[in-house]
Amino acid sequence: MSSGSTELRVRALTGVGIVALILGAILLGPWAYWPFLLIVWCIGARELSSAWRLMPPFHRAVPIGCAAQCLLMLAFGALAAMSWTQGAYDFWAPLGWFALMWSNDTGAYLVGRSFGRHPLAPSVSPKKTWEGWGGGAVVALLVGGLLQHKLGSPGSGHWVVLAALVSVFGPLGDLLESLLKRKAGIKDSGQILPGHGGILDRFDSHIIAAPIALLYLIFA
Amino acid sequence: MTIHRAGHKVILVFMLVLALLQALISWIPSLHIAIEIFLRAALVGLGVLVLWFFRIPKRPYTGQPGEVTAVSDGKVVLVEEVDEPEVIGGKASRFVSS
Repeated sequence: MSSGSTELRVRALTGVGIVALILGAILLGPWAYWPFLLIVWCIGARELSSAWRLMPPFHRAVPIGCAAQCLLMLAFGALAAMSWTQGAYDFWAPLGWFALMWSNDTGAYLVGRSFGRHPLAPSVSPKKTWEGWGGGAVVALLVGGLLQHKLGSPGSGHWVVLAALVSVFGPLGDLLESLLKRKAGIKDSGQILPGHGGILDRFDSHIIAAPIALLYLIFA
Repeated sequence: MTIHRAGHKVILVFMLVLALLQALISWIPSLHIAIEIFLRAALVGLGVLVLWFFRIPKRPYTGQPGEVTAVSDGKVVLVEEVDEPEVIGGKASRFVSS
């Protein structure tokens, strides 16, 4: 077996583990889901601060570090609060949200790998393409429509709107994390998830999208 | 659940301070992960307490005509019939809630 396929296998196995852990935590209820997010956030915050320490002096200003940490905190806070927008724990909201995010990631990866021609942000993340972005958006919107059809509205919101938010702000969060890693000169934010890198590498799409989705769910 | 108007400023200031503290935790050198989780959870808990303090809970009224309801979160502890000669001039019901 070549080392490439071993790596793919490790990556897939870890991926299944991550999905199982997140789904399990959400379904077990708030006293599993919230502490889970808390621990994941703490590990992410560590990765963020070690990446920040590697940045060039100009970007290593304390206010920038604080702002980045606050952004991360808002994202995890939003992921937690998303499950409680109606005054009681509703596991469908975070479950649907992660489903949208995963479908967006997967759609973008598959379409981008097959049809990707035009780079989206070559200086930040050379492998992302406009075609991949479009594919991710289409898949996320389809899943959003399916969720709306099967589940009805999340809180006072609409799943298709959330899917649109995911497809716009998910990749933005991705790019933001790529920018951070590029400035710090690292490839992965950590080694905690074999084949995937760090916590930030897996949760980067939520960084901008989750707080915006939470605001939408509260004020829609 | 909504938040009382009087709490908006307090909550804003409190949240900003808590967010700053959360960010500063990242700068504590060689902090054990368990202690970090505890510290962050404690700060989150503080924030939740402040929010909780200023909440305006939904209290749907489910009483029937003829029932006695206590004020705010109280409990009706006494319902009795008394003589009230001065104002009503006869029998009256007396309610005491805690």
